[in-house]
Amino acid sequence: MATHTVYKPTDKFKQVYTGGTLEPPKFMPSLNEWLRKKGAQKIQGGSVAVAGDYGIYTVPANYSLFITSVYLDTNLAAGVQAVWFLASNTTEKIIALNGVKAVAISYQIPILIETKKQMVLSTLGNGLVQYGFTGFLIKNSEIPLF
Amino acid sequence: MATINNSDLMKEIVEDAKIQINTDKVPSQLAEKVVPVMEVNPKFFRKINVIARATSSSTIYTAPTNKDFFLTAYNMSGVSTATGEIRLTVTPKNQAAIIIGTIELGNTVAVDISSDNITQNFDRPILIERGSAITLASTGTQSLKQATIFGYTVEE
Repeated sequence: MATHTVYKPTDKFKQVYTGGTLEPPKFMPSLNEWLRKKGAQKIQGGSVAVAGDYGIYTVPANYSLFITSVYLDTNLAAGVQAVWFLASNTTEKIIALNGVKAVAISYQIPILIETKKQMVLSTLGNGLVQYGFTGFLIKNSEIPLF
Repeated sequence: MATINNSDLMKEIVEDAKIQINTDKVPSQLAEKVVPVMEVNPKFFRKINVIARATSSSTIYTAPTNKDFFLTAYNMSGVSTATGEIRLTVTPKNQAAIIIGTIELGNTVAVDISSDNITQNFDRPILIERGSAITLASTGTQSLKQATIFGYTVEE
């Protein structure tokens, strides 16, 4: 029977007990635990009634916003109704509505909105547009290099 | 050794362990030492324990004051013939209501929106401040409306 070493620890095993006290293992927190522990929960909802571009939220200085869900609804009649994007990047839309039925998205992987970036809701008709989002505001100094 | 006198437990032992009663003896005594079994991390095993619904403008659910409540999902729908809206809000203590979700109904320009609905699952559940009321609010007049919420409470 051949003998091979299939597993070799890189260092000596540490003592589990130190002075009779159990050393808690260091687990890497889940994304959800990390967001909740390091961040402040942010919930915002609102509406706009007249066609135009509206700055709905600007991320504060020294913070980043991790968006975890958004929704959009309108009672506009036809055509492109409402589009939600970053002021600094109008091509990548966060969410858009092209009809009159509500749409909601929950992001398993949050959208990161960087410091001082503004989110804009643009509507192309005179009618009520309802919007909302949830997320976590986290200090930039708390965010590791992903 | 203590003898087991619970026939249901004996039956369960036979069925769950698939003991061959023709050949093997069914254990009928407890070991002298009791070995506790603990969940290593009960936080991993959350389950919905709050489902609440309202069909009129009213409080759907009030978060407990002695434990945390996390909102995981909601569904909201309505039927209307006049402009109006249905809102799901939460009102923390001494603060204005925060809008969680809204649907618009009954604009005369677009008759097909006389009914609408929204369903939102929160992959990252929303922590509701203790003692806060989650409310179905509305403006205008709806012939039908409802909101259902789902969530769980955490003891610690």
